[in-house]
Amino acid sequence: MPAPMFMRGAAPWRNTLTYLESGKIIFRPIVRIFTLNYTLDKPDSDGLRRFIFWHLAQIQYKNPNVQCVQFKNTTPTPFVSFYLSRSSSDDIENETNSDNDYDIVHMDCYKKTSNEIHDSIRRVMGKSELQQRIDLELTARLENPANFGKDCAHYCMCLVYGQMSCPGRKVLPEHLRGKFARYKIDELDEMRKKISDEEALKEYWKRPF
Amino acid sequence: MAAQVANLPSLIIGRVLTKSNTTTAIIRVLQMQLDDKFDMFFNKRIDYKAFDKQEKTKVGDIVLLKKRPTLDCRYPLERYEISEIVYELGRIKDPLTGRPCNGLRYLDESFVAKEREDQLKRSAPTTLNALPNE
Repeated sequence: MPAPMFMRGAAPWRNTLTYLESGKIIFRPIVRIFTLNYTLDKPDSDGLRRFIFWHLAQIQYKNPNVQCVQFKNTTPTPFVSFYLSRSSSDDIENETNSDNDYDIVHMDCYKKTSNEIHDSIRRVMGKSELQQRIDLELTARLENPANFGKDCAHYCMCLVYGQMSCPGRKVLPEHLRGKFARYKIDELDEMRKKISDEEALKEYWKRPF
Repeated sequence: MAAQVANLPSLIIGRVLTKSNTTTAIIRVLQMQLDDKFDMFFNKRIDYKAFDKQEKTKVGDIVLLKKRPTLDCRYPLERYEISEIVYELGRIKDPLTGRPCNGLRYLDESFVAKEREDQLKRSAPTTLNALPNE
């Protein structure tokens, strides 16, 4: 059996969606740019190289608005830096632009292992577990297309294709209405002699309102 | 010159490509984009036009761009201004130590002395501690 078409290259499971989604570092909304400086040959930046090999794709996947830039062989020591900005969201009308200074935070990675780098980045610049869970719960209602109601994709079940319309707008067939099913059972039986339930339903679907 | 209209990030790092006048520069910016089929990230090059108030930048500098408030921009292409030079061409300063460096070595130390040190180290290697394999 030939190998699957795209599972090629070193450690190809890095290129699967499950691996990318299981990234643990989500940056706080302050962080804008994530810069990585490393050398290609020296053993000092070995940890940072491994970190990039394993974890950079995960970081970029989870933070699509952060620009991750790699600088290779610019300085002899490896380090990582973050560019922070005070304005939290990209507002179009940003009036206080001159006051918004950015801060730069550097993090040394000389002779550190990739796990150490990962943990320290997560502790310094990443959202805590609690915050991630809060965010998940806030967005879960909107993201899941099965939810409906306020703050969701559709506010009423009648909007979904294949469901019954809102009974306020379109009168239901008699056998499904409580008025006939509970109180006026005799009239229901009379109507059932004329049209059966299934045909009443079919007529219901044909009616525009 | 495909600028993303929807979400322009407010801070960007890029490299100066060309300077048409002393005040406007075209800056090439790399952003990683996820390829659908491969699920890998590839660098996508976007060129931005930026406005340069203090005319300090040369071609080839690495530069930090800041977004301007929409009231100043006359054209949609002048959304960014250059706020700081991160690495100047030929005069890169290591931000951790502050020493000028050139690629793989610092310019403070003399090259010859470093070579002699490395030679000595190579001829009499120090015993390496047994490091656990990662």
